[in-house]
Amino acid sequence: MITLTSSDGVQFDVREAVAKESQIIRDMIQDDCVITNIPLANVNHKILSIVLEYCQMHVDKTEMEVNASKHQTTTGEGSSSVPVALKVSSNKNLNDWDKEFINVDLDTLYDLILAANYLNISGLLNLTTQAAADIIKGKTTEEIRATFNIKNDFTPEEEAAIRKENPWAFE
Amino acid sequence: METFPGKWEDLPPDLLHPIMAKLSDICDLIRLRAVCKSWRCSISISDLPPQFPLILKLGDNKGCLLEFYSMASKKVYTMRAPISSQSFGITSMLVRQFGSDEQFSLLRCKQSDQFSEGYFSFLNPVSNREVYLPVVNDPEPLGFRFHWSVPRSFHREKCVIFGCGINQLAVCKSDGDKWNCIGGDLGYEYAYLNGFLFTIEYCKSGFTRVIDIGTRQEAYVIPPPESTMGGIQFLVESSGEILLVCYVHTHIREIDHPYIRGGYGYRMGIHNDNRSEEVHNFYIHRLEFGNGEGKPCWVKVTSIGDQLLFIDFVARQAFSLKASDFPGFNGNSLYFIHTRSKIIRHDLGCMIYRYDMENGKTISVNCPLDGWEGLMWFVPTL
Repeated sequence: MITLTSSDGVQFDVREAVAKESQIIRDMIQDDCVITNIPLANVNHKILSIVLEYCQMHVDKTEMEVNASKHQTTTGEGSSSVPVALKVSSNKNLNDWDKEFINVDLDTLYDLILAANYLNISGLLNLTTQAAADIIKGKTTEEIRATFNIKNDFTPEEEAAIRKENPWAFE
Repeated sequence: METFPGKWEDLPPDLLHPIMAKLSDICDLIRLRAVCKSWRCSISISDLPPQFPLILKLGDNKGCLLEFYSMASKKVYTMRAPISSQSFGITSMLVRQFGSDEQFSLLRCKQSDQFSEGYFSFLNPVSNREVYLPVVNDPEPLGFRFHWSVPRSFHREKCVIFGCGINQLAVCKSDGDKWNCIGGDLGYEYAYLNGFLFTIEYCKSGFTRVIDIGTRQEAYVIPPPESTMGGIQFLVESSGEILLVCYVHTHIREIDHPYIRGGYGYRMGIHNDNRSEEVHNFYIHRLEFGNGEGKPCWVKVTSIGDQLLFIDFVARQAFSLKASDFPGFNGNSLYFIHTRSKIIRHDLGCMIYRYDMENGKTISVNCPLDGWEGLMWFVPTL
């Protein structure tokens, strides 16, 4: 077990495999094998608990697949088609789970992007940035500003000049 | 979905990039860059992720309104070509040859009435920019056809353009100031890789010439693979390889009577339009250089892996992109623009199809643009 401490001092005890979903933690553990407590200065407990939920799920799923394929081999009924089918359905479930998991408010999404980047969890970074891209897709500039609560800091002249570069995209 | 003001505009640039890279429609990217100053600074136009080709409707471009369809976002966009094009001379605009080129995809030409010179410019309707090519000296500049290479690096200065006129094959760099003539057979298909021009000769049926552009010397002449005889051929540069794509189109007519099925079925010529079936077949060969040992030769391939080939039978263009750059698109397939079958419909015009290398099946791709006067691939850039 490894203890991860959030920026606001909350401790989370997790299995090493779960913590190792983060590349940065994986590197730390490799460098020093007796490490048991890792302080994470950039992630608060609310976000860290969500991140760990993601890591836990992905580790569990992977382990389940490994066990299932082992079971198939040892019981001898494992024609290769069975584990493949199992894997496909389990990938589908995981994708569905990811989809449900990432259905969060924009503040949380922002913090998750930063945390996934800081902890270097490529799957989570991919999932969160894809979610942000999906929100942006098809929206007008005004709609993007309104959604992400961003102030238009261009002067009217600057904005007119920007629109003139590619007028078709603003029609 | 409330969020605190100011939070997202401070998103570090290196985190805005992976978001931007997932926007497969150039329109989303342009709008994103117009949101606020910090996002505009973070996203440079040179960061543009690879773009899935748009489909351009050919035809009446008198008003210089160009209609594009994005398969990625299923939207139609209308772009206006730069105003200067309207004052263009005799030929206002030739919307013709283009490759998977990067910067300037539409071509237009002005010919002086007295001289056999052609002024060509590449036009980018996405960004309203226009760049002139060196003046073409040819008895028929309007008949000058262009093909160009596109290295994956997407740097304009590395682009090489081939021009083919009545009696010359010429090459120039997109930032160069003159055309260099290359002798020999003009060829009818062109591809470029690492300083070499690949072209299929007119005279020697189907032989491929490999020319070193630096020395203008012929490096190799490669005999055609036997199986390509009779088909329509394209040379394509694809992820550092040269592919020869051969297309064979056949019609099969089915007849309902079981006893005349089989051998005699279609020879009897019974017209039943609803049951006629088109079969599109693509045969692909890869150029094997042979590591200095032996001569280069064509090797048949059954899969093109992650590659997507885009082919236009009307404008005779072919290029290759990586499917993994475009979420929702599967590799190992070819998208092609072809004239509609005369058997299925009595009208002409173009359609978009997708051919799956895996199972050899072809499906038509829905496109809301009227392809009456033709459709064309267009790779948008900023």
